[in-house]
Amino acid sequence: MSAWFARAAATLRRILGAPDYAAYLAHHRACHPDRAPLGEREFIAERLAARYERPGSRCC
Amino acid sequence: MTRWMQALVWAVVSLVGAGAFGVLALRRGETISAAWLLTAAVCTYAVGYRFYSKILAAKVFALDPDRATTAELRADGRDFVPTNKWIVFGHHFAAIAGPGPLVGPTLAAQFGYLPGALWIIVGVVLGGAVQDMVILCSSVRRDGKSLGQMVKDEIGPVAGFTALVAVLGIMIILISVLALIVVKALAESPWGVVTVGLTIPIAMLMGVYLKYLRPGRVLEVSAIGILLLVVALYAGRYVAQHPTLATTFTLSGTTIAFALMAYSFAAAVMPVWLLLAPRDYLSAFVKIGVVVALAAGILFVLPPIQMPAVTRFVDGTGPVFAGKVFPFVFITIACGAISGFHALIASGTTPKLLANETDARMVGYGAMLTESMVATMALIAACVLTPGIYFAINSPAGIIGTTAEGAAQVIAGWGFTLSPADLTALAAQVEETSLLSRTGGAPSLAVGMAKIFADVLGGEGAMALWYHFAVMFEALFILTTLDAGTRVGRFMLQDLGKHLWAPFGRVSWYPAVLLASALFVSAWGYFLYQGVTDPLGGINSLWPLFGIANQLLATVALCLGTTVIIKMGKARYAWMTLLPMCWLVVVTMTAGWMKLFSPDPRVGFLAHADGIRAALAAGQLPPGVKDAAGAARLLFNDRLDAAVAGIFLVAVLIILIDSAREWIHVLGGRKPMQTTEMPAMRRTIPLVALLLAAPPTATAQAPTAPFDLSIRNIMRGPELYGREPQNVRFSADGQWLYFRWLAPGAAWNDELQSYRVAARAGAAPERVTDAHMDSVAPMLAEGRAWAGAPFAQRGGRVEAVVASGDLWLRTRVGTAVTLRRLTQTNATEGEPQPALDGRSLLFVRENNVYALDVTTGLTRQLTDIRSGAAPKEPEAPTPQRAALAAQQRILLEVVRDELKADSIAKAARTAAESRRLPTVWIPTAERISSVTVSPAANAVLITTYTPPQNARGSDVPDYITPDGYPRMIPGRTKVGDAQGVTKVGHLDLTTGVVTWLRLAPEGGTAGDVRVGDWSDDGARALVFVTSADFKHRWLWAVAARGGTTTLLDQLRDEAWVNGPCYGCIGWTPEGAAWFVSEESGYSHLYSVRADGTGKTALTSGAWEVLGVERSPDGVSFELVTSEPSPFTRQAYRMPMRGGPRTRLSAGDGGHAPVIHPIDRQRFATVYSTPNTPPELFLARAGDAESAMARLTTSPTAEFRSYAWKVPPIVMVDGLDGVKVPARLYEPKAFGKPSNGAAVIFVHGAGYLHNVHNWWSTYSREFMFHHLLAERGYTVLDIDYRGSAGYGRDWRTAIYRWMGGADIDDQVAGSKYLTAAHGIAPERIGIYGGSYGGFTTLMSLFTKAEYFGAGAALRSVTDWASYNHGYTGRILNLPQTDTLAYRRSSPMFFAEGLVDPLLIAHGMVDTNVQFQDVVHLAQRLIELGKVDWEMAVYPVEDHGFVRPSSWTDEYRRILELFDRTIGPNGSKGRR
Repeated sequence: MSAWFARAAATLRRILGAPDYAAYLAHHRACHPDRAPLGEREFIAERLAARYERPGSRCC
Repeated sequence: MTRWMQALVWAVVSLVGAGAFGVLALRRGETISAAWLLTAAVCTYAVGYRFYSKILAAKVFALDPDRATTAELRADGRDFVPTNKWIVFGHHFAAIAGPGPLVGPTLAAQFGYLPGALWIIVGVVLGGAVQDMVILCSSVRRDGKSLGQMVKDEIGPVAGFTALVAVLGIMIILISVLALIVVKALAESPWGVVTVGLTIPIAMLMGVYLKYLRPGRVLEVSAIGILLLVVALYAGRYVAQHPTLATTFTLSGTTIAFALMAYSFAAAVMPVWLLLAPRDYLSAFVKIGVVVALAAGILFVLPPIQMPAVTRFVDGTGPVFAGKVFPFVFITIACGAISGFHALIASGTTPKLLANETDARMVGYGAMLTESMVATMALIAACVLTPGIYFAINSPAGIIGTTAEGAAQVIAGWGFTLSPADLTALAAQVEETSLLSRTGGAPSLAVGMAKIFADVLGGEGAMALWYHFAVMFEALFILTTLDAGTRVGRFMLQDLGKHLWAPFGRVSWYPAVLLASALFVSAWGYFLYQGVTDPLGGINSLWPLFGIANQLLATVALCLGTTVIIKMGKARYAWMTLLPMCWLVVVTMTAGWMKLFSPDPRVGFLAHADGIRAALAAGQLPPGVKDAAGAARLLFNDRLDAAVAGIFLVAVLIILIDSAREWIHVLGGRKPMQTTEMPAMRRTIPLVALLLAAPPTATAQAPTAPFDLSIRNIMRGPELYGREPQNVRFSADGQWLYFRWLAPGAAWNDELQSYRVAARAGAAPERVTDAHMDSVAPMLAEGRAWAGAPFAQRGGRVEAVVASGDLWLRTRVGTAVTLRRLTQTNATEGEPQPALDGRSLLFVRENNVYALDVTTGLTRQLTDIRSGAAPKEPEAPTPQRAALAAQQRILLEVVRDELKADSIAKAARTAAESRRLPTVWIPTAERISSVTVSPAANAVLITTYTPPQNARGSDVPDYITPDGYPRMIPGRTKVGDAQGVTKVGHLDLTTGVVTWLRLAPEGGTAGDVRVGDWSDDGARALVFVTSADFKHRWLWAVAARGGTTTLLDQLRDEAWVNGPCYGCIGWTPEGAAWFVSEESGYSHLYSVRADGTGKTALTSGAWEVLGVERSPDGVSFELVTSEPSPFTRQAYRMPMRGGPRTRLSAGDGGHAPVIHPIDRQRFATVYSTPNTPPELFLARAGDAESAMARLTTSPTAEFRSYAWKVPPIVMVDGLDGVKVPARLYEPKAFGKPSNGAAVIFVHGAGYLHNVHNWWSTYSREFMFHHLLAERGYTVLDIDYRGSAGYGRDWRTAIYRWMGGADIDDQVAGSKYLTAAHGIAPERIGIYGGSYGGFTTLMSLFTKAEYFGAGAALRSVTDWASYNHGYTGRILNLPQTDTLAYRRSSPMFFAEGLVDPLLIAHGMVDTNVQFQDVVHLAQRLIELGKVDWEMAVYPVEDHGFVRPSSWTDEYRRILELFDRTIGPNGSKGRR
């Protein structure tokens, strides 16, 4: 049940385009295990800044 | 399902859709169920998706499920994330669905439901969805590039810039018109104001919660937010029902307009986490929820449509907005049918998420169909109102007046019934003071939605709540577009503005941020204010402008799509984008023209302005205007609107013309049909998938035809086994690997290209352009780091690098690398070296040393070294002249005056010169070969080379030339000729004095000289010297102070000094020297103190050190050695002081490792085994061979379809009892019986290693030996004495006698073949090239009894004709060691030839020259030899290149063996 809920939550988050720290961590672990990942707050701040800098994330 | 069943189903769907359309179009006079509209829409969408989008997917783009997407190739866990297609669909839909598809159809309902419905349904299938999908596909294949960038790349810079400006203009109009809708919905509505106003603190509360209380808990906080929204809804009602509060919150349109501007300004400059992000989440939830709820409601209720199919207003007299049904229905409804804005999203976030190209169909085409569905539902919601009520709400007060009764009368005049009581009752039901003239579309949509929802839940009593819920829902996501749009607009404005004034572009400089935000808000704010105060309601003029702008952007997107399709070579499908594009051009042009020039003042801006002017001139005021100033403002606004419309039209024309020109050029062949599409990369199948996939892919990939093991085919060489990845380098951040390579399938003469691959398992290589390589050169160049530079960022590594002859500063903090360019000159800067002062960068420019202070930018010249004769000092006069001069001085005052003036001038000149750098003059006969400076910047070593006088080159005639005349290719000298001299001078920078160093001890003569590194403390430099007779090696330390030399180590070899890693030298951080020496018989690493004492062997054993690097941190050595066996090459790490070695690499084959620049436990390696060509792998220290991640696939599938064997290594007993390694190809291993004959292959160079467990550079020969073995020949390939890989004694066994120990090993091979394989000596052939050709000749000439035939390729016949460096080492000089030359040169033994001999040679061989075999041929003729032949290759150098030459040569070799030693040959028949 909790696994199902987590999956549904992750799906919703991605549809919203909300920063998905868990997915980032997974990617980071898989591809850059040698380096320290960003902290959750840093990651969220970086993602939000990127999102509202350019057109292309929302329409009329 | 069978094909027939499928066809039947789709036929039924099509028929049902067509039928529903028929009913919609033909039923008149009474209401009709919304079900018909829904059915028509759904069936059309289904058919369009199944058939129309299929053409785009399969034919136009040929979407390939195996092609890796940009999300995969560039996966970074942030922007680029391969995502499940349903999630991407949801995300994309949430991004494209906004208020647009709701408002447009509502307004267009004034024409009746049919025109809008037709355009929404047909337009999306043929236009909107096509656009979205085409742009998405284009962007996915271009690294997720934005629309503007693609327009610039594919069409041209003019179109690109126009598109950029157009996007900015569209955003201004879009935001103003959306804001106007909110104003119209909230004006005079306290409930709405309070509810919508409360969403702001709710969002901020969520922001704070997310930032400080529970970061990342988006869903949790959204749930709280939604609950609070419900509270806000009730709070609004409370306020609206409260007598005093209600009046406080009853706000006028202008007040709300200014409030919106203030709000958006704040949102644009505030941190995004506080307001933008949380509001975004909230609105996305509400948006999706409401859309789903509306769909459910409509399906459940299936309300009757009250609006007639077509109203009388198609003639252009409509009250909601002016203009005829054509073109205005197509302008009014943008989102839902086609919206240019979507192109920004389809080239924004979405392409970076696609996990598979084929998903683009569902995401691009499918999501747009869904949005169209939303538009259809909005149309239904507007049409469930009776026409009377619809027009009462949506007509401006200027037309229907301000009372219900008056309005009823006007509306009745249009033929619709409206009882004033009904209208008042409806207003009361939704608890609004009035619904009259609530233009903008939002209120009427809200009433329609409230009707539908109330039907399902709550009944009429709940109408008010549902109405305000709907208003809140609309306002919420309009505000979301408003604030985010303002922020994006601010960034775009800053980006554009920085070209005018650079500081304006600084996104974190508050004055610029405030200024840009204020500018952008005032831009849209002006239009908003204009709309709010417009007596005609504002929507009337602004919405068409927005529509035109949006459709303009769609035209741009479709122009781009057409260009992309044409450039893909799919011009025959260009109609798919051209069709909607042409339609939009017609529509926007007509609409724009009408808005500008229509004589109807309700339509044309200019006509309207004329009307006002006429009224003013007549002393009247236009209706709804209070004073002359207001009228003047109205006049100005009309002209402004006209100008905006004009600009949009011009922009369309510019882009259209620019695109058409591009199409004509490409189609007419004047421009190459080239797109900026990224090359297709195969998806590398993850290991797991491979394991799960049954049967294994090898069988699936095997071509049906067996591999063609013919000479013609295998001599295609690299066209089969591919190209080895070369020059492998990591980028400075360790993220990418760059290398030179060619993907499989390249032709034999294709040049290597630059590639890169992400440094992670599963990444696929991509080809990169030269321009890209130029741009990344500073990221790839090797750098030297300052130790603790004061200007380094915290924890960062600052390096000086040279890229393309200019200096850069490269700073790496963690994995983030920043670059700073220090020079941009035509001159070449080189040898960048951090100075010990921690702030200067020392470098060499045109043979002089400079110091660049990185903190101040000051460049200081440290040396003035010039070529030429030093100016002469005046000579001392003879006594006679001195006496005469003295007499002159005594006698004449004028002479004394002149001399005095001269001496003053000379003193001044000397004083001036003493301030300048002293010049070092190098005689013109000497060439400066290097200049190196100590990091202490106190000494420089100058190396010069004086070429020999009178040396004679042996030129090579070339007969095949374009002009038909032979030409001479300049050639090398022959051994023993005059040699040049290398000198090293020590220049003391404190005194300017040069001391030329003596680099050989007493009695020795220096030959080759190489200046090595300076020690870390700058005190000493290493100089590595080989004696002129090649028998000594001296390693010197030269002190920076004084230039004194200390002999650190010397090695004497009675044969000659050389070996693996010869000349590998360096310093430890403590100031000890390290070097590789063969003194123990194998090359090993040693260290010695700077005073020449304490020499220590750091490695030892019967194996060789092949490569040494000092790690960047100076802690360890990184070695490549043959420690496990002479047949493998492995990477090791060892502490600087020696001690235990850690093996980094795995497997039995050969590695060429490149260690990761940051994580020294990771490395890239070019790894191969005897039957798998070299590939680029990523590995981690200690990984097993199977854990290495392969990044390249170099051979073709054709090559891989043959089961290439690993020839076993056998040990042949040498004549002296030594075991000699050899590769053996036995017919038995190929399932073939021996044919009784054998071939010995002799590798070239002498000092070369060919018996090993990695891929042989003799790749064609490897395949040829398979061919021989398949025909029954046994093949032996021996690492004879003289070969590399087995230490000093093996290497020098041929000293003074080539043709001695080495030939003995070939004889041993022959004996082994006879003893172990039963092959008669006369049936053993021998062949090889270069040294192998020489060996073949010597074997046949001197050991004929062991061989039956031979093919000597590019062979040396006379060592006295060969070069100095190679031959002089092994045989000394021909003038002093005649014995060595006589017994080593085949020319002296040609009389021994009895066996058949093939001589093959390239005529333009500049290494072993054609002259050699010409001499031999004459000698064989003079000797009367019979069974020999000669094949010449007029255009080939030493290494053959053309497959035709290779094929001819190897056909002759095979024929020679077949006709002599073969089973049917002259020697086989016996």
